[in-house]
Amino acid sequence: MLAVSLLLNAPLRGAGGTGPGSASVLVVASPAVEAHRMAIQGIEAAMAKTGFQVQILDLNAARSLPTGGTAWASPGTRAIIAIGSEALQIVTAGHPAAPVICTMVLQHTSDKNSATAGVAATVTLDVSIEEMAARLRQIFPGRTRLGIIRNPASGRCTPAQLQARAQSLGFTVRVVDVAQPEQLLPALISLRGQVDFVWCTPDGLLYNGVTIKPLILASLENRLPLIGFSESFARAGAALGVYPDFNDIGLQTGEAARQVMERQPVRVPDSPRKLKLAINQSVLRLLGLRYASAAEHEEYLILR
Amino acid sequence: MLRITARSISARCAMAATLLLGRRLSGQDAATKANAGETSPESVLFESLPVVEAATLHAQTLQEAPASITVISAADIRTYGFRTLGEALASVRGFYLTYDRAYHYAGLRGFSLPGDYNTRFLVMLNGHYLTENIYGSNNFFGQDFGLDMDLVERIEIVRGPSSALYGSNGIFATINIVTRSPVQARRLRASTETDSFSESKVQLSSGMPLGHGANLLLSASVFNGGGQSLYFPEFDRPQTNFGRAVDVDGERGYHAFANLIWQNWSFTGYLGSREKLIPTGWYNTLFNDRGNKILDARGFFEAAYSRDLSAYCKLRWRIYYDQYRYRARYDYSLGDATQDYRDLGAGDWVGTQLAYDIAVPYIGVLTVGGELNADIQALQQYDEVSPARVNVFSADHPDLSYGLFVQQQWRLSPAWNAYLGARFDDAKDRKHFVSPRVALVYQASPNSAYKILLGRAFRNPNSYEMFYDDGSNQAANPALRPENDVTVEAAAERRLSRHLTGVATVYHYQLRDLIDASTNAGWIQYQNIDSATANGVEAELKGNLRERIEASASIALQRATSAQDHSILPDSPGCVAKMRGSFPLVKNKLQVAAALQYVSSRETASFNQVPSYWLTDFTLTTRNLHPDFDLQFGVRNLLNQAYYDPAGAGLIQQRIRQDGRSVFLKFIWRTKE
Repeated sequence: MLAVSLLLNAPLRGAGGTGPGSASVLVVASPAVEAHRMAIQGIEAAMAKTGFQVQILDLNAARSLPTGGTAWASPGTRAIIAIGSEALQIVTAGHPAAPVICTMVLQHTSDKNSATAGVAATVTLDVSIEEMAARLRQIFPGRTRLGIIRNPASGRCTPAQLQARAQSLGFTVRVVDVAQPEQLLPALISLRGQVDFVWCTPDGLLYNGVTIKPLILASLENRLPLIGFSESFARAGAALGVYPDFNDIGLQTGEAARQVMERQPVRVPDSPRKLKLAINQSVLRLLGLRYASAAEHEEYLILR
Repeated sequence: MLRITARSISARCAMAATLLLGRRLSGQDAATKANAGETSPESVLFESLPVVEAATLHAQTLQEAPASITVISAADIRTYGFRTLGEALASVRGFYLTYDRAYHYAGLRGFSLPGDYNTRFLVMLNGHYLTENIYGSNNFFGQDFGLDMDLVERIEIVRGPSSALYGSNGIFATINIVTRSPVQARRLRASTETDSFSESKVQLSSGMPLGHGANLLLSASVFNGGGQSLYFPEFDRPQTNFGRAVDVDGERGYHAFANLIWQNWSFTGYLGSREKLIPTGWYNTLFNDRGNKILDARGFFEAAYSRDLSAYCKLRWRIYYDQYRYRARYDYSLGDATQDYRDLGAGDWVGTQLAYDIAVPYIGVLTVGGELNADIQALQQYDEVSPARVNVFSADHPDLSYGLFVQQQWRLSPAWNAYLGARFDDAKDRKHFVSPRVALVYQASPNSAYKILLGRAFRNPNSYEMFYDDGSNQAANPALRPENDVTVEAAAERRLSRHLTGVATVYHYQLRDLIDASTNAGWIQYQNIDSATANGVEAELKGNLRERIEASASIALQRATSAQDHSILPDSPGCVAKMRGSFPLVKNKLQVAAALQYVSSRETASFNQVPSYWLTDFTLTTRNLHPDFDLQFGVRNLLNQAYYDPAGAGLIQQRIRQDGRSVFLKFIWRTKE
């Protein structure tokens, strides 16, 4: 136990004193990743109201912890927050006594983990079709034809379910499943003339520094505005980027952790409450699109 | 249908390349990535993706050249208050300017021969040659350069010979001015500026989306200046106003620029005109006479098409119409009367260029291309207008020329790259020429690169040098050969620390068959009469001090001599040094910039010395002082140093005094997006 405590204490960064009896929440994350840092700030802000200490364990150090037993359950730890899917895997592999809250993961990965680990609460990164439709209606009223390119391995809903949900929002949806990068461009071109926007849902296999260039060139050539899943995607050449506010996800996670510790019911899984939106004005101009003036009053990031 | 098929082919090619590269990358990634944030499925949300340049559709730029390159950014232009292309070039390692109160001439590596109207540089606007077809000049660098500096996105300066890619004139450097994309331009922007020499300028520009992806940038400006009252001791006689030239230094004109981009097309219109009074009494004209003046007008219209056919192939094509007009009036004394002579140069030409880049697997990029130029007219005319109306001389020799080029990049190893290229040029009225180039680049590490360049370049004799024949003073010489140059250059570029980069170059130029005016036969005739060599070293340090202070310092030591008598060439300083720095103040609301320039002594065409000088400039610029406007204030020649440039052709003065201290103020207003 002493060895585990020493091991834990070495990489730990506490938000205040951590006496043996003080109640704390352990956050396992990669502080080197800016999005994780923003989420940690949100968690700290949420926990500040509760009096719980927040301890940060770097994921690199967490990897070296022994799995199983009580490695994750030091006396004062009331909850463990895992930021990201790898943190979740490592934490749940240890079967900690404290409840685990999972955040900043894509829903399909949390599904796989929560089934076995009994995660108490999850905050995902997924943007729902309802949220996306609301943003599009506000920025581009009248453009209601949405194409979706997704990896079938990561889709929870069937195309028919998505179409039904979109229809209730006044949108039509065409879903194209793409399992390999080489299918990306044919999938995009197949949507030509049939949709107003193509929404690329996050997938590390399909989108990277190499595949992005031909995709964006094809988007410009075929006049198919892309909706990306990050600010970086919008900067790279997508017309829009719609993505979660990571700081608010941290707040949301902190609040969920508090509810778990107070044994209140929580929504599992919970999607992000607050989204950010980046508009690539250069690309919109190239594609001959103009966003509604109402969007100018929102706190959207306009990339010039 | 064909279009869709082509697209689907290109898409498959792109994806094939993507897969190949992607698999290679993913293999590397698996080996190197250790952090969870980089490998987990959601990490794609946090990763940075490379910006695809087509998404801003910048105008076409120079190909990445294996050469010593300097880039002047829009931020540099704004920070240091460069109001003309000449001011921007004067800030660059090794460059120096000469002004004879008619034109600004750029010198580099010890070459700025009097009478050389910037013919040994190649100046391009978005890749379009600005060389005109009468005098072979590459535009000038004051307000006679027809583009406002506020429209410049960046200026790329590639030192060394470039004839292997671009043909004639690319001997010492190639200067490509890249304009702002209409996609990035503000909806409406206006600026006005004035200086203590009474020059004022008003500019209006607008970027407008036209729908269906078409975007237009329009800009126009007018300028007018009364100039200065000047004193020339060579004319200090009662009949020439005791050497005082009053109200005869003014200039006026306009610049207009339009760029429409739509899908893969870019349409450009460029038009500039500048009329300048000549205060120097050149070519024995009347001194202190408002009749002596010159007008240069240059314009072109171009349609350019660029497309990535696949991940392996890129096509660039352009077609254009160009125009140049030179109108000059020379007043001579005829007893109590005035003889009024007029000079006209009228050039119109059309042309097309095609270039195709192919990525050859395991070797590198192969570029092949060609261009064709056809003169519609290349008219030179000299008339006496009063007291009699006499056509003294008129000649029109329209030429037809073409060039074919190829360049192959060879990836010899991950660290070594070789570039082999050659271009063949031929013309109806001029001799053919082959310009080869070999370059070897060794990328020792991400922080250092070493380059060796060997190239041959040429300059074709221009129409004026070949065909001007007024029957009394100047004789034609249609047998002129191209002057040519062989250059060897080595460069080392090294990142010395996180914030500091160093560059050092050493070079040797050997110019043969230099074209110059000969008066041996009692009249002027341009002949291939001289050869010259230039040797030199250059060094530059550039970086950021304490993150916020941008600073650079450079020095160029050079010796350019005539092969005939080994004398130093006229207007050739042995040392050119620069220092500059800028830093923000008041929470980044104010940018302070200062620049220092040293040019060592130079010889005039008559072997007299013009002393060395130090120039200090100072600029203050507000940054978003107000959402709608900003201000800029600058002082030039802050210490009011008296300095001189060697006089150019046609002047009895040996040297021309340059401007003393001056201040300028600029007001910029723009709409919100």
